[in-house]
Amino acid sequence: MIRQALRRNPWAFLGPAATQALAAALVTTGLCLLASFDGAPLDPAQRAALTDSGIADLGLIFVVSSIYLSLLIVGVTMGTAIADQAQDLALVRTIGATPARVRRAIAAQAALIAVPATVAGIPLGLLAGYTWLTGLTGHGVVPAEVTFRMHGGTVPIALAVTVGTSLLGALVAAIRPSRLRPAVALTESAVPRRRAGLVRTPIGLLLVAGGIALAVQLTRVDAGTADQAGFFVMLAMCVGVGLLGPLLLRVAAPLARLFGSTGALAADAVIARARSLSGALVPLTLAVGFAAFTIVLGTTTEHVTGVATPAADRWLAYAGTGAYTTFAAIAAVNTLVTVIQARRHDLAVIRLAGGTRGRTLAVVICEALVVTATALVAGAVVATTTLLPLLHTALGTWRPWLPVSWLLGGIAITAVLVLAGMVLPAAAGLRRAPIEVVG
Amino acid sequence: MESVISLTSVSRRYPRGVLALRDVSLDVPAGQFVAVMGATGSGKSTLLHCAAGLDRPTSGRVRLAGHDVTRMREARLTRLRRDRAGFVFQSYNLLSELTVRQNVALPIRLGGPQARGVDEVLAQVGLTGLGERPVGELSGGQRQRVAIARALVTGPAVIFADEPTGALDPTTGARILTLLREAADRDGVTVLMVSHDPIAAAWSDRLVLLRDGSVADDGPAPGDAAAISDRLKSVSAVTA
Repeated sequence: MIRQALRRNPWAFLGPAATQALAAALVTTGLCLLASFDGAPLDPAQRAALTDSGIADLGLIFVVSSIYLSLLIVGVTMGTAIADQAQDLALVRTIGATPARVRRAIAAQAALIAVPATVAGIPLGLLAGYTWLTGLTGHGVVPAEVTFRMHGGTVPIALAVTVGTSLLGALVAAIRPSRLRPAVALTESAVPRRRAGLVRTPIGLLLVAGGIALAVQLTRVDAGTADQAGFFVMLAMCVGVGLLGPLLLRVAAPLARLFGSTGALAADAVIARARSLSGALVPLTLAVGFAAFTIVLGTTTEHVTGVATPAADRWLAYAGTGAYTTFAAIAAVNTLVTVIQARRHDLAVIRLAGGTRGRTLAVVICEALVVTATALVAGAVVATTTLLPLLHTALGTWRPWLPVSWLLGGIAITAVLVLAGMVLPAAAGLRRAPIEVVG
Repeated sequence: MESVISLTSVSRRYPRGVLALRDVSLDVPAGQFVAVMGATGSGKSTLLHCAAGLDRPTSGRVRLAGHDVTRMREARLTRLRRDRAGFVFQSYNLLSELTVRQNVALPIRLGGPQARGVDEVLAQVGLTGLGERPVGELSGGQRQRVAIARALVTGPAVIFADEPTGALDPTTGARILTLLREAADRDGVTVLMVSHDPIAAAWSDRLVLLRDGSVADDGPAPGDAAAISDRLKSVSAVTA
């Protein structure tokens, strides 16, 4: 059954596998930094300087935030992959599989994917750790005595993180399909739930409101406290926006109607598929939010103080954010590919109803633009809420500053990512005759 | 008057060498309801796909609503299908997450002509009041009626029906066939239906029997299923 599920839809598990490989890589990188700092033969003065600069904690921060990100992103991609299998799960329930058996099968599947993905990710993480460390010593951020060391627990810890997050994500996603009565399950798989979560939306709103309230409070404290607590604003906002994902897409979808009847079709499709698309919206929003926060903090500081940030500091900030952003972006693209793969039948139906290849692709492009716009706005809100208290307390300004060319560049990169995840697989699918796809 | 569907010496060979259609010629005048029958693998679906421009013949010529579609470019062919043809499939082929109304309006949103109002065709197929329901919540018979409404909304010259009652019980199936019969009689739509069910074929004007990709028999349809069943058996028996 597991093997069959994997064979039937190998694409569906590419997303979780890729994100798990990256999660393993990030954890490995963090562990390398940790081991390298701890194991370096430094004299007490050097050690104290390293601790004071906060760089000694870098490894730990990296490991912890990697685990947090993995939970979020692996959970999301795994959820999309499982939701994609709802029909198959309903079928095996019908032919006598107990809910527990379905859950076990899903768990086995999740573990099965996590192990090879981790094996692929660890060397990548070692390489990244080595590069980063040479960069740090090269720029004089840390003393040259800090040499690359591998953490003894790399393999078990990385495996624990990926298998753990994968299992958790898969099991949470499997709660509904495994519990449903088979008869209901078959009809449920034909009709994805349309109602926005009755629990999901209020919690999302609460978290966003909490994040904003905290941000407002932080404008009244000193710069150091604001800097430290800023993390919690970002956390609340990210999780909140993630929970509100389907709602945000439903609100944004009517924008597509500006593009005429093709856009109207795209708007209906986004509203109907808001849940699965939100699986891509969450990592995209994280990527936009992280990148915007780090970049705008840098550019505004330079703009206000008129002093260029030292190359070493800038490098430190951008390398970390770069890693997270790439992680989230890859997860987003993967999820989009999964969503589009699941829609091959629908796209063939559109063509049978008289949509040319070009027009059918135009529908997908309109959908991609809705997702892009929603991610950009949501990411900007997350970044702004986190940023404003920091800017106000440290620099005394309320105005973030970003060169127009950077802004346009960011919009372009986001659009290219979404288009690559949605339009390329759709175009590939449209090459087959529609009657073959539906038949 | 020119035929709405015209196949001249059409053959279709599949990549692995299987000859699904051999030298089939068929002319269907406007408003005629034709049933195509034959054993599994006799080429009836291939015939429908070639006639509808969903598949291209290896040799021969296909004309659809006055246009030679044999070598027509894909985009133009798609627009011709959208404007002049409607489809009803055994597996419905609807967008199950969208509403009834959104499904029926699909060809129009894709740029097709709106010959009739969405409400009007929904009333004709007996789905008044269900316009806002997601298609995924409907029964099989209701879904097939949505498919017929979607086929009718552009005022097509021809409806292609591939086993339209294959997944339905006899009573529900009869309702679907009544709708196809009405489309031919009242709106002058040509209907080309593929079916393995003699009861379904009894609703047609003309019966075409296929055997091994060739037309084995072509004539007025007997009005009762038993006679059709006998004719089908006599044709298939030669093969066996």
